[in-house]
Amino acid sequence: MSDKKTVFLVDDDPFYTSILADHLEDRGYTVQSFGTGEACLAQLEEKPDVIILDYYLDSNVRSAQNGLEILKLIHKQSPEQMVIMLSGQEHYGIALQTLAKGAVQYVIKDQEAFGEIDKALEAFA
Amino acid sequence: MKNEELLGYFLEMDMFRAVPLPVLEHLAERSETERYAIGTPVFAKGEPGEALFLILSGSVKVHDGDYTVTHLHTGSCIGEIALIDEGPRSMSVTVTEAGTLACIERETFFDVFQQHPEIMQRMVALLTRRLRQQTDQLVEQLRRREDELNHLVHVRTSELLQRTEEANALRVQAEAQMQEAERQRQRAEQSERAEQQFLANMSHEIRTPMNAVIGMTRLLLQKSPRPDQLTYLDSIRQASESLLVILNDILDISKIQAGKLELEQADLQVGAVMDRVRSTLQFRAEEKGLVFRFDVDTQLPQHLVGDPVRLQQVLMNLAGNAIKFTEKGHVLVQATLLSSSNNQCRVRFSVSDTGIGMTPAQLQVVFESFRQASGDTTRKYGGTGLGLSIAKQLVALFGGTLDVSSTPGSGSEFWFVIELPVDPAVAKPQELPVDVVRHLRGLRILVAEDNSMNRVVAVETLQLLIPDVQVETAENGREAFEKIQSGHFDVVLMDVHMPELDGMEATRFVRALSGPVSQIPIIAFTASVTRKDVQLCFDAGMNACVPKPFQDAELLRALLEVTSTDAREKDPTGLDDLLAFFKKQAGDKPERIRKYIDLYLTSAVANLDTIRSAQLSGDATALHRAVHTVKPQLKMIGMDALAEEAFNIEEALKAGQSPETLRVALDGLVRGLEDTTRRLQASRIVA
Repeated sequence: MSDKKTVFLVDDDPFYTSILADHLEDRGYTVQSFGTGEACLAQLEEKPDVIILDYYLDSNVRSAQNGLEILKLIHKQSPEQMVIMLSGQEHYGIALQTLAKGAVQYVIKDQEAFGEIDKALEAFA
Repeated sequence: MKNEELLGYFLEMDMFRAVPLPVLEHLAERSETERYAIGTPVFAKGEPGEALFLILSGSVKVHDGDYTVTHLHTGSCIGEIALIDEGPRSMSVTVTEAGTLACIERETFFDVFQQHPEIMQRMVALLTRRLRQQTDQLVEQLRRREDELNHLVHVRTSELLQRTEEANALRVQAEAQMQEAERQRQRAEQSERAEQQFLANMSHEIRTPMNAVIGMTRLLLQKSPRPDQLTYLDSIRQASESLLVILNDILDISKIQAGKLELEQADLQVGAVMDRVRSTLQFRAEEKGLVFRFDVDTQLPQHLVGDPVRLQQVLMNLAGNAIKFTEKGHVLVQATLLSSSNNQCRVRFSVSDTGIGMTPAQLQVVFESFRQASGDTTRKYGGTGLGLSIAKQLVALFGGTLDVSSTPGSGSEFWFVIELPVDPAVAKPQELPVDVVRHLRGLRILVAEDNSMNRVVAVETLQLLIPDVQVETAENGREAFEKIQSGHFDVVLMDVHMPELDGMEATRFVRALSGPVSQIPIIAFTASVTRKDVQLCFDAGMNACVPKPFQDAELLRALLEVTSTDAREKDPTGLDDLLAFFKKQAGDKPERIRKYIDLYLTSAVANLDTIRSAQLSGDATALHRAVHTVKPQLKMIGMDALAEEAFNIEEALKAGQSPETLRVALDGLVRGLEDTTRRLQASRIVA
């Protein structure tokens, strides 16, 4: 096993995922992308160093659960798992909830997002 | 006189001393005596000298006309020279004291004294002595005369000098008075200027902190305050807005009283003025259940020339008062065309109400400053009492007279008649472009403002309004000038009044630089937007003027105006901005750019389809999802304004609004997305 850190990217937007994955790989992380939370949960025993989880996961796949639910499930299975929440909007209520549920950071999808993610990864991964 | 008597005189005379008696007897026999009255001439100058005279009594003067040479008295001999040289008399002789003179003819004299030559000698000696005396006297008189003349000259000269000094003193005084008058004129001018300066400064000093309070409160209200904070902020806003009204009233009345308020000559649309009055006061009237009606004469030309701000102020004051003092019924505001001629209109404005009315006593004081109908009125209805006084003076400036009639309990009518010229040229208002903020994205702005509170308001407002804006500040003209020279800015917002170097001076310096930075667009912030002041800004080289306190729309319009050609020229399709993020993320792998564009396009096209079909079917959920997805993508490619629109639509949908009601916004979003997609598709062919 290499000592590269692994990152799980959970987002249903392939455009976003692609760019973020490239970005992270450039910085030396191994990235695995998932289109739904369920798919990510299925591979949780690989124990990634960080999971980057989008809040709005049911845009494309109607039956998928949303990010908050997935977060709860992740921590039920793996309490110390580091999760960074991603979201398209500044919503303090949701941010508080995700942080209460154990996410370590809440990052908004804007042009600063990648910088924020880098910082969070350095701090927590 | 008898011979014996005459002989007696002869014997006394010095001249005849030691003359034998028989000779004298003979002489006495042959001499005449005569009595002379005062003033009688004995002989006159120039007459032939035939005889010698002897003064037996009395006195004579020897003179030439008015000039007296000498006086001779008893015992003197007169006229002996004539005896000797047989010439004409050299002097005149006139009696000064009545007396007797003896007259001895020449022949007689020579006959008798032929035998006695020593008498002749004695006579010559006497004569000589007399001549000497006369000469001495003459010299003496001359000398005295000279002294007198000298003295006179001296006196006259002194007098002359004195008069000259007095004249000089008067001239100096007159000059001093002229200088004093000139000084007073200059002082009056200076105090006039000082007064104007003071009013302008006071206006600035008062409005600046008010501007800050109102601006800060507005910003805070936009930062999602807590409910309790919201209550406090609303109170602050209302109180500060009231205060601003009162301060403006006070400033106005000071200006009017100092005679410094001038009306602008601008496009005046009576209809528009009435609309503004109505929209401002409407809810107040509705609250009280009053009918609020506006009648504008259809014959009134739409565009007149005058000061719309001041006209609005008057009508607002009158209508506001009417509403304030009316509990039921109506308030009616009318504009009637009385007559028109020669491009001038006579217009009657009136505000009538069915309010509490005024008694004759109240009517008398209604227009006086600080007085309201009664103290109770102030307490019950509020206000400073300045409004009507200002209104009256403003109407006077318009050339009319504000008048009122009233019946207590029934109502009042305030009216005035003024003449307004018709505006020959009608200006079209500028249309504000639809997506102003898009064009301004990423602008680098320098804000030059000395007041720290105003600086903060300006910077925060710009950051709030314009996405990706980069704002820097300068505290005075000199700092602004230095920063501008660095060439890092696209546009400058410059306060006109700053210490060290004011806005206009700084602009002049910038324009005097060489190179493209000298053409940087500069927008003036100014508290005063009279035509004169605006012209001064343009003369200094500024590109636009925005009045303080500024309206967001005006600021944006000005920014757009001065930067529009720039933005177009730099990047006609805006493609650079779109691709910036992709390029950055691609890093050293340029083939990624193609990948990103493809991915985006795939997603975007799919989202566009979803949005369009969801709009048609009315499926709010699907619409919400699509819009939500689109938003961060737009943010990534730098389309912040469009992303904002998407966010607003998303929130509205989440709050339960139907897609139908959001049609306009959705159309805008779709248009923006299509535009972006098109441009990116075009870039694939090129790149």
